[in-house]
Amino acid sequence: MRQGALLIIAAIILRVAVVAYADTSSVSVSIVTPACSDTLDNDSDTLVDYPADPGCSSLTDLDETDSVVTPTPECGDDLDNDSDGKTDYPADLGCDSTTDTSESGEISVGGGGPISGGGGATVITVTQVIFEGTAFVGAKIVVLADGVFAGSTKTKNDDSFVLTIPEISPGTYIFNIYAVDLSGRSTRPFSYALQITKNTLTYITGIKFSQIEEGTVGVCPPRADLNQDCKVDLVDFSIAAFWWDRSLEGEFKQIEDKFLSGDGEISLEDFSILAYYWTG
Amino acid sequence: MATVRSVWKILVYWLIIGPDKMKSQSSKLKVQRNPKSPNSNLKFGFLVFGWALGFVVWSFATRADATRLYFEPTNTTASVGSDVKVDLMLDPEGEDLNAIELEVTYPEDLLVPKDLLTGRSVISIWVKQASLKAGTLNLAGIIPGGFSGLIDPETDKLGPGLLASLIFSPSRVGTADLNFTAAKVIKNDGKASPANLKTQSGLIMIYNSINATSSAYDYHDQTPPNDFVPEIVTNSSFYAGKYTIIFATQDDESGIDHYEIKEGKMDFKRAESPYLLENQTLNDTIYVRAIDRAGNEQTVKVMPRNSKFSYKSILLPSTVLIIALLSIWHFRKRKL
Repeated sequence: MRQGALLIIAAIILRVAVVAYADTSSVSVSIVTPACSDTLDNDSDTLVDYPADPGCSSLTDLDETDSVVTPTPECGDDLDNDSDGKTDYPADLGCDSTTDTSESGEISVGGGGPISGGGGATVITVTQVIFEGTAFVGAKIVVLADGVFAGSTKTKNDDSFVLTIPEISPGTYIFNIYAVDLSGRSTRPFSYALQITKNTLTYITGIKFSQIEEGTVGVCPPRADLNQDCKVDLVDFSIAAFWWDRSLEGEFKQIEDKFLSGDGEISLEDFSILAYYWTG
Repeated sequence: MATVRSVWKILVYWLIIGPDKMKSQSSKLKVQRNPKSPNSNLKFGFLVFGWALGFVVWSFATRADATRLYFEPTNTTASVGSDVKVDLMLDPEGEDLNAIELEVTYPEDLLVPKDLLTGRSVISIWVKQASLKAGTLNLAGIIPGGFSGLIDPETDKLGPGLLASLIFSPSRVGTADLNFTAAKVIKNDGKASPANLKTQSGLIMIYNSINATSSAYDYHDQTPPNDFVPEIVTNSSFYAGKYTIIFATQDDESGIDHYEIKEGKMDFKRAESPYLLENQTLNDTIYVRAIDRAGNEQTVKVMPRNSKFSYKSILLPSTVLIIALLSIWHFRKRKL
């Protein structure tokens, strides 16, 4: 009985492992709202977001905190800062020590004023999607959003890549990302369905493309390229859509037979083949 | 049943003791039915393990076989005269899908269709623009690259995706069923294999008063459809190789309702992509307008490829003008 119980436990562990394996992916999705475009004064310096807050280097900067700069004290900087002919401590009587921050004399001229000016701030917001990962030498990374080209980049020297879609309207998107090698051959795309929300940065990290093996794929899609331009895109879709609910005629009969399902009509199955080989 | 059990036992033995010892153990399998066998505990354990392993294999296999189409909420209540919204959902349940076509019926005498929102749909390109009228919802579309589920950024897990939101205005008390009368979902495998599909009907209980639990639907889309770039193409596969314009865009809120086209000074007219251009000389500016279900518009312009004032078009008037001027000059000279 004990052995039986052990075997049941083993089966349960196996089941958990199967589920875990099925759900595990190295790709991770995270959403952040950049501090420099969130319309909030995150560092309480009365200045909000880029470019008003000096702590922001861009709209996508995640930290609004001002960088701390320690100036060299005037009384130790080898300069005649107050133009009185005397330089630094102890020559300049305005200096109490080498760490005195002002060479000026004891008597100050003029008054104070606001540290920084105000004014009507223009709210600038940003909604971006950023893809990060690794590919192979010389790879070109291409991203489609809902089947339409959205951006491309080249891998860096260390084979990593960062591809940013700089401005995208909020909504539900299917992103396809694939790599193209130096011969023009493409990997199968990875597909990510995401809800993009306003004023956020969505990071998709951990994407990994392996080198395309020789002889496995050609430069042109083997099917669905109805107009033979080595792409499967809206033009091919439109050709198929034209024949939807129509009897096939002329040369398109052969095209359907060669590049689509070959069942003599345009149906959902043909559009599925188009969607599979879609290059955008 | 006994045969199945024997197969499981052999499989378990093979897994545990290896194929080499299978032959020597085969005699032991034959005495499985003897409860007093010294190996009965072990055999019972193997049997249980076999069942457990079967459960594992079965449950793993069914993970990819349970693509679901259903309504969210599945059951809801509504008041007469107060709009109610139900979402049509697709849950791939581990499958990778890329094409959907379906038909849903609803009782026209109970539900008046008010709106159909597709802006947040996971369908990227519509083969058949979604429609909700005459007691039927129809839609067909594709998802280039495939859809395995909407990613939850909190957990990185995959969940169901929205296909369309149906807005109804209940007209009288009753029970309204939303039934799938046709549904086809295809795997993203390049072979157009059909996915094993389960559909679950929706139910709307309509009351006369405030007994309804659903909140009143209130939605305003003020955002125009996304910008887009139409393309003029020619291909012998359609419209006999004549100039055709193709176009498509998205509306992230209510969804695209329809498109309109205007060629030169002609009026806007309703159009579907691919659209055969009336002016095949391509010397007119073409305007393509996408209109969402809330009436917001996005109009884009395609500049003429050819100038209206071609060499040929000005040659004849110029020649006539020159001859006329020469004639006048000659006539005056003779008069003098």
